[in-house]
Amino acid sequence: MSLVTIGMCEMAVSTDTEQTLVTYSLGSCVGVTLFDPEAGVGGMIHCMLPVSKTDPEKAKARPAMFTDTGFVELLNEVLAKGAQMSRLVVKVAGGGAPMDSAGRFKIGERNYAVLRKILWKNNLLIAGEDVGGTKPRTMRIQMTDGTVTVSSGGEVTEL
Amino acid sequence: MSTRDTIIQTAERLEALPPLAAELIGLLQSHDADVNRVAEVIAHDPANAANVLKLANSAAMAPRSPITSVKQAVMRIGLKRTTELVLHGVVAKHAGKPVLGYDLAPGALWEFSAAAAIATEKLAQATGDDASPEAFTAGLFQDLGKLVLGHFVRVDSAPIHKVAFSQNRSFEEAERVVLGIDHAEVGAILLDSWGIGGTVRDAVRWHHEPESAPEQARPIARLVHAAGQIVNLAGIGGGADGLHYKPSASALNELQVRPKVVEQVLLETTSQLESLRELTRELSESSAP
Repeated sequence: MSLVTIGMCEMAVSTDTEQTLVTYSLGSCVGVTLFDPEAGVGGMIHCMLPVSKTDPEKAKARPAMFTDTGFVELLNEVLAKGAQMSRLVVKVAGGGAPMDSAGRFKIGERNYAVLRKILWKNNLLIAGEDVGGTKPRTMRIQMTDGTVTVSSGGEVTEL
Repeated sequence: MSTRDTIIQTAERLEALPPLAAELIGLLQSHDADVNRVAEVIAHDPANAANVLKLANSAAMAPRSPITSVKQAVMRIGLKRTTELVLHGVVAKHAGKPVLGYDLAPGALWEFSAAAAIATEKLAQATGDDASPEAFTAGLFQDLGKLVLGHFVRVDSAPIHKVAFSQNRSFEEAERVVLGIDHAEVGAILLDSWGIGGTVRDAVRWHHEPESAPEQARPIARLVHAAGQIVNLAGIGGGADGLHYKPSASALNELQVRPKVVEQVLLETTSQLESLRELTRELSESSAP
């Protein structure tokens, strides 16, 4: 069993049943996993900011930094590895915000909104999610069967 | 002895700040720093002198001919970057430790501290405020109190976590309820014991309540507060406390922190943090036998 860490603004796609993909410390960032159980193809991304128009240059060099360019890149990569759109299981974690921030730090909410819009355009539904609030989250996907868990403060929840 | 007293005693007895860093911070705070004096101070510290020379001769600095004296090196790098290099080294040494009480992996507190220092500077530039060396230093040192609580006292964060999340109190407020002291006050006591007072100490002390800072330190306390919240937002070097803090509306209003500014600061901070990680790696690799 090997653990592959996905850092902030990074993504990875895997077909290796021995692997678990993990991303730590999701605050307002969103973590998304895709998994096709029949093809055994999955992936994970950790996006920091909602839209690439904030810095198109950076988005070109590092699409995973932004939810819009990042998710499309992840989707294309899992499809290229043999996953099929109709079988994809989508799970989401993160998108948090500080307490009483009165809309000043809306990045988390916007990350989630942008993601939902792209999912809707691609006819993809969210099969499980743990989003919003103030808790820090660690997200994992086991490539054996696509099980996704979110852990925070010692509690582990399966999505 | 109460928990509060034990914590204060630990902070006061922690290993002293390296004399070089203390002197450099003193020089910069007195706005008295000149290349000759800084070079003289650094030349007496072999590890830092070697790093300054390595950086000055690195491909990124592209010197025309090899730089062999510390003074030339400081001139090439600039006073500001030289000081930053030394201070990052101090924090890396301390904050590279795992901070178990806060569920911070080894290096996570360094990541937060380095990013918060960069963000403090970027935010000051974006809002037209004072990007002084004190602001950078206070940004860098703001969470060192967590090191005392989480690494040296090894407080159990579970009760703090419980009070914070079940009573909807911010994390530092929950620290006060459970421990009788919060990480901001502990950080200020640590800095005091390191001989760092004035604006830097006051800004660290009040970085969660910038409106309570003494007037002179308030502008920097506001910057440090907002920068810390921005770095925390992205989860850089994040621990068990997550986003469980209350941003100060008055500080954010005063600084006119808008969503666009937050995104800009995050973009600039993450990219500079990446360069800093590379530099730290290069310096440590080239010093390996």
